[in-house]
Amino acid sequence: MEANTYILTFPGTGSSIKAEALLTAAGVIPGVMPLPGAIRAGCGIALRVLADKLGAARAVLEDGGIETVVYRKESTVNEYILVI
Amino acid sequence: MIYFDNAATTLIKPDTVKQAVQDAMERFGNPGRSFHAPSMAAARAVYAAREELARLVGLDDPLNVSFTSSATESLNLVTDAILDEGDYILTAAASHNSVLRPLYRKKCVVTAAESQDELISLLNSGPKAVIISHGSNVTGDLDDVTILYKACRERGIILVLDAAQTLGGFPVTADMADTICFTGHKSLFGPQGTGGIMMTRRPEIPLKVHKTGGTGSLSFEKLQHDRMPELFEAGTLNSHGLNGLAAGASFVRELGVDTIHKREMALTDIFIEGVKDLPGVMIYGDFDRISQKYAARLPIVSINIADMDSGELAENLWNDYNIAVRPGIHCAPLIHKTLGTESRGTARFSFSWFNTEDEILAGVEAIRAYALREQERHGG
Repeated sequence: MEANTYILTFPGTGSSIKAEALLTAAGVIPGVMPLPGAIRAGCGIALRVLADKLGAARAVLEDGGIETVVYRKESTVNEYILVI
Repeated sequence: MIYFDNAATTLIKPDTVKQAVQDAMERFGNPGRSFHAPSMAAARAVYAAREELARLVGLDDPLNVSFTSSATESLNLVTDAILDEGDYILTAAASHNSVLRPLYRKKCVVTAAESQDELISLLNSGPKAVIISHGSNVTGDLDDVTILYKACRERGIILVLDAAQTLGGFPVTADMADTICFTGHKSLFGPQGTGGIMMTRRPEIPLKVHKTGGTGSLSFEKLQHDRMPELFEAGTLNSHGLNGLAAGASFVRELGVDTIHKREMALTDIFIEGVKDLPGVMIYGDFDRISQKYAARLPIVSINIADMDSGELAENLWNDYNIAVRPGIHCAPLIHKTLGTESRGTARFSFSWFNTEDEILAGVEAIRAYALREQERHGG
């Protein structure tokens, strides 16, 4: 995973799939990935976006009423930083 | 064969529905359980089905559509989610057993009103909820739910609508009830084994989770959370069927519910006009109350002829004319007390978009033959 990649996590399966649909419709094409074991979130499916798309992604999800918690992976270790 | 049992299930489905199920069976993994392509294809299709259903009723958030196996399962889940044992609940005499039996199982105190006026007058008696079938599956009579819901909202009473007979064939909108339970295999032309729950306005009471298990979410927690849509969806969803349901709902939306209803009622009117004056034919339902002929009704007509048992009539229709209708009680016991048909039930004719005028006229001729035969047999 690239260091400039952000991971979007969700409270439930329904919201992660809705998030993917909203982001795709808005042209922010996210990657779909399994939730890393080091992150606790409601849904086992997470989305990844590049850094330059994070702002747009957050705006789309906020408009769509989707709760998300964002993480960034530290380069080589299994450590994820919560992004406020 | 002429199929007039569409209130039980629509037999003829759009080709797009069959193709969607076939396609799903070839491509879908388990929806919402993993990130890989087959699982995501199923998950995306389920979400698209939520969007299609939400669009059909004007519901803002597709995640407020949960899928189940049937309207019956939906009503059981909703009853368990919102009610406690001993709660006082209002229903209608026309309600189906899918409404009534969950209430009896829950040991609720149930009053069944025989008319909408009576139902509204009983709202001041302090019920926790009103749970009714939207339209009678026996007579096709239809009450004005908009008026009822307004009266419920004014009193803080939850309204749960069983739209099994209406969604897809009659306008149902998100502003008609707090909760709408539906089936996929009737007027939405989807496969059997599909249905759902729409929460249009989450009641201001805790929703209790009764169906629990794997949801793909919060796996370490012992109790399942109460978030929509997972609240009612533990276990693997019928994504094959739901892909078909989405195609059925899309078919309905593209044609327009009003267009479908208008055509089905035109067929129904031809049938009613053809049989209503035949000797010994009884048609059950409240036809006087409807000012615009039979417009605000469902395409359902229950009849009997002279003293024939409804089962005998249905069997004769099948054996003599290859016409399929449903006889008996139709899982709606209370209304037969009102109609006086507890002992023999009714023969129910229910029409669909795919029926033709020629089929209706063939049905009328068959009824005419039996009516005249019975008249002769009784010395008339």
